[in-house]
Amino acid sequence: MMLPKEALTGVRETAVVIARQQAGSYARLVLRAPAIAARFQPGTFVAAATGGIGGTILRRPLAILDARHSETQAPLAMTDETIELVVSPQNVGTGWLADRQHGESIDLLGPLGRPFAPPRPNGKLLLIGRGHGAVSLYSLAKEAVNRRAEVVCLLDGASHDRIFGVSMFGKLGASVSLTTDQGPKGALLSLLRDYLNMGPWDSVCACAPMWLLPDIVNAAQQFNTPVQVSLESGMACGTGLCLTCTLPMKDDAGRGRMLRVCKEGPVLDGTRVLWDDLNRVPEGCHAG
Amino acid sequence: MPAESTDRPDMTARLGRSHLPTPIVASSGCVGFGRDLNNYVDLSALGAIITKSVFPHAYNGRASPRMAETPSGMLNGIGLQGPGVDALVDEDLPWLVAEGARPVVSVAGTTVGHFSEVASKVAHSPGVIALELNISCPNMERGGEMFARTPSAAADVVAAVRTVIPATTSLLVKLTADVHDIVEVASSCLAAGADGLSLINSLRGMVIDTRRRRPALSGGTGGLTGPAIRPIAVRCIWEVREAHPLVPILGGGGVWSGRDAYELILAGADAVSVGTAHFDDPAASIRIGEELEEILCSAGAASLSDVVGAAHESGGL
Repeated sequence: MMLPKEALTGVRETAVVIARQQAGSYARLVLRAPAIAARFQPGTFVAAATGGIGGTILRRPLAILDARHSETQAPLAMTDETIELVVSPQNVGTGWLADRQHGESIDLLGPLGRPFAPPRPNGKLLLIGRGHGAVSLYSLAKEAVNRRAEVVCLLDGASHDRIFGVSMFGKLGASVSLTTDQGPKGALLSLLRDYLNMGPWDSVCACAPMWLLPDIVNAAQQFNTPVQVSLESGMACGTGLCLTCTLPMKDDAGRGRMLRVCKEGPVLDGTRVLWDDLNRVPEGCHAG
Repeated sequence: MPAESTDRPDMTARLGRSHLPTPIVASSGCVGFGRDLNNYVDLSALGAIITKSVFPHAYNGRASPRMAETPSGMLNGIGLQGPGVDALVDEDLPWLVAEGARPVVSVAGTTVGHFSEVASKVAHSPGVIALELNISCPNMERGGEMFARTPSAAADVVAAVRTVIPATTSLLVKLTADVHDIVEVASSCLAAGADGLSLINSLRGMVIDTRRRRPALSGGTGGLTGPAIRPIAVRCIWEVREAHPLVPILGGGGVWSGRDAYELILAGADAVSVGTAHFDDPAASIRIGEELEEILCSAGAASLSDVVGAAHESGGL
């Protein structure tokens, strides 16, 4: 499975909210953003400025749910090129973003980061999303279904109302299974193994909190299945300038290095990440 | 004086022994070695670009987490991750020069010898317009205290570097405000042979993550930058300009707009560096340069150099 060689570099665009919808604690925003929409690929993100609310100066990275161009179907009767963001208010900055109303604008930089590998026509994809992580998987699932791939989505969350996208993924024609922390312990991983056993799969694609990803990667490796993960890391810029988002991972030559999540990722081969060393600079890490 | 001048002001700016066509410079540590910035701006349109600080050898830097947001600012603890001087000289500098950029190399070290080693290797690299000594590094031969903290330690570095680089190479020293008296350190550096001063480096700060009940950065403390530190930058530039009316000063700290750049120039900066603002706007240097030119035009200034330190003339304190 060949991951795209390079991260997208994005453009700056003033995006205007043309529709919004509250989905539980998430705010779904549809924005007119032609330059970003034209460049969008599944797995990429935007860096959204917060209008300086509360003295915040840093952009917030937001996963892009989907993009529409004028030649595609537009269920909300949108004729402009648009992107859809799903904002989970976690702090004053994302809280401000989640509150943007129809007609208001958001300063965006994007799309940024390395996207998922394009789905193989007539292939088989196994997607895992926990909570907000499912946002990054939606457009990948849509593209895969459009290429007549078999798509299975395992959607997980702390509780049922924290799972994102149950009906959306179902409507695509993907097979959807749900698990929560309220159910039996280890239900998600158990389900994952059951499905892995029904392979071979082209890839597992996982978007979940960092604490859950190592187990998913291990399971995929046990079944010799390629696994792409979308990483999370605090980011001051999203464009590769600041070096604040680095995590220990193997470079192309297999050497451990502190590499930028915004440029090596956010989507990358999950086996490259040095999961046991996330909060350290590993010994023997190749410097530079 | 005509009510509205139609001539554009001359934006030539002093940097050490050199002159730049425009006064806005990209700060060290905020634009890497230019390759990512190149996706958004024409590097040749920047006054100059200051590289990340470089040691003799490659460094990994600090563990994650490396940053925390603060009111009107941010705290960073990158740990000077970098490829080392050989990679800089072999790859990054030739690339920058080929792109038409004007590179200033930021030199780091944890011993005086490190500074000399890096400086002597880069001073002869074609196209390098100046060296900026990052003396906010710990001196491991003296218990880890920052070179920039004491006049004598700062002067030791400057004097050592001066002997291994050509007399015509512009030598700037980047100072920290985390000292008892920045003027004293500045004077000491100038006496030791510096051609100019760069004010100010980040300030030492800390954020506690109240959920985890631990420092937010892996390294504990970090460098505070952004608009919150601008008044401190202005104060330092003012004080050093008062003490040294003629020395070239590169001023920086929380500059986000042309107005901010103008403020630092009025305080005494000959050129202005922009750093953290790039994280919000990769084109910040270019935009700020254009805004500054508009401001000078409206103010009827014939040239940038006419207004450097002008706040001292208008009655001052």
